[in-house]
Amino acid sequence: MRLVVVDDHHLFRAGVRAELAPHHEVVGEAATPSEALAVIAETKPDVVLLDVHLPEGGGVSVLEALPRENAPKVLALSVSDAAEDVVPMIRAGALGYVTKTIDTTELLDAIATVAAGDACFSPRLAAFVLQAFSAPAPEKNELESLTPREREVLHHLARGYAYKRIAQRLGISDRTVETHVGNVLRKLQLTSRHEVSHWAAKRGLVD
Amino acid sequence: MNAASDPAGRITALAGALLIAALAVALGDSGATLPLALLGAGSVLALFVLVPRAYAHSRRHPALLVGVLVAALPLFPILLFGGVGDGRVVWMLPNAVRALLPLVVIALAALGGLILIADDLRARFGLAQRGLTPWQRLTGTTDVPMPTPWRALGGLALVGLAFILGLGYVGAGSSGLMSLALLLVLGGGTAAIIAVPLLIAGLARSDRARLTTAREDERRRVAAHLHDSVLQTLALVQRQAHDPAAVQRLARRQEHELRAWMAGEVELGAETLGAALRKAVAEVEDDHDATVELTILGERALDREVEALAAAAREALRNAAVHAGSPIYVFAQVSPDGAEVFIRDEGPGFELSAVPTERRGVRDSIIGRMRSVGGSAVLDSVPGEGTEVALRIGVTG
Repeated sequence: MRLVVVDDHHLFRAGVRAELAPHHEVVGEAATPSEALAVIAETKPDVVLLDVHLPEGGGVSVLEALPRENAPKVLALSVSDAAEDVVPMIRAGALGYVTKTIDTTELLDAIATVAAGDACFSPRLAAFVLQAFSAPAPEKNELESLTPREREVLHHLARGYAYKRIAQRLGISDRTVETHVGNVLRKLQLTSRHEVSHWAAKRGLVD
Repeated sequence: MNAASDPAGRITALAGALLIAALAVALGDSGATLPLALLGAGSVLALFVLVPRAYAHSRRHPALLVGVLVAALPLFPILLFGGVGDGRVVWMLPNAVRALLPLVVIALAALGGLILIADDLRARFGLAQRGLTPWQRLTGTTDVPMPTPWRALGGLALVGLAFILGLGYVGAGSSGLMSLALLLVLGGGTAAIIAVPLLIAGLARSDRARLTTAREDERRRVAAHLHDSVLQTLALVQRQAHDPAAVQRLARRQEHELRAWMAGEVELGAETLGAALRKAVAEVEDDHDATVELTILGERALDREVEALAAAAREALRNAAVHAGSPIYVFAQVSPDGAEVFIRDEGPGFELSAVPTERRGVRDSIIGRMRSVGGSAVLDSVPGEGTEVALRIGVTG
């Protein structure tokens, strides 16, 4: 698989490259959003590992500038465990988020999940998404709120259950769990700007 | 803060008004007891409210001193010419005091007025920093209602009355000194014209200075913390580079500490559920060399119930670390009505009924503890697949 690593820390890029080298081909690196877009356009990777905190607008600006057609799958990486950093990345189109302290096997799993076009929800991301949807919004319509089953799946993910175990516990198939998670992701990306800003304001993220 | 809910402003205005009233009565009909009473009350208020406020204000806004000088302007002719308008000689001390006293009172009243004006201006400068136009600052907007500027109007009235009284007193009984009165008016006007922009500049400058100081304090605080924690750990990591396990432990502990510090828990004195859980996780990671993934949604201060919840969670976490090992997942969800904590491992699992009664760890320290505060503890263990302990208090979704 062909990867591009976007991170403003040279040492981190070198570390990831060394870790992934036996399994995947790292075809490009970038330290800023503009570099990232150039490298992605040139190398056309399958998956981009994208840092949340970048100079000149952050990872979100890269996601927003990616072409609609044939865009690579994006896995967000961050040291941050703050919802205000993570949720906007998912909303902007990243398929998953993992912390930089993740070990190599888990990172490889996450890359494989994202490459297949599936959402990769770490327990923490699942918790943040659960929280994002629990904010009351008066004009929330059915398309934008979670079904009880989706909520249940997210809750299990937040508690660290793997898809297979969730499927067993809820008596559904693995594929159905994946579908639920995919729907959650789609709904998160669909939620109106108003709702997210309402949510952010409630948490004191904007004034 | 508006004038109605501002006792200091009202007392300032009252002191000024009493002083003016006393003088007005005294100048009209000397020797009465009413002005003495008013003067007494006004002086007490002036001494305990006006003077300290004036001192504080002039320290914060040096431009106010110019205002004080304007208020004291009527004193100058006496000092310069040795007498008031009607030709009385006041170099003799008793006479001088008697002649000066009303002027001091007038100056105090005017000072009260200036303080009120300064208060009002400061409130409006607060609005200026929120991007309102000068006109909006006068009238207020729908979002930021600005009440009628009672303080400024009261202050202006006090200054005006004091000025008129001062002129009247200095020029009393002498029409030949109209030129002196004119001089005073011109001088006072000029001083006021100089004083007001200075006052405004002083207000803006001192606000900026306060902001800069606050930023600098914050930077020092962050630098001091990083020095004590992160740099210290980095030094230790360099020294122990040959021992990967030690380096890992150091890095993990530092990560926990830094995250707790960023979450503001150190300043809060660790009196929250989140802080208690972070502490428990850090302890277990250190003692049992386990990896715990902790996620906390919401926050709540420690009370009896939450303390029991945190203690039960710590016990469940220790059990997981001892009997199952890494990875361990802890998920806490807190709402205003309740809280739940899930501790999950992927160890061998067990049957609760198969645990001998003499090993009371689970029964007492987890289930018993939760029941004693009206909460619940549910153990869900599948042999070969792992164990999850769900702890709840209050109403949870």
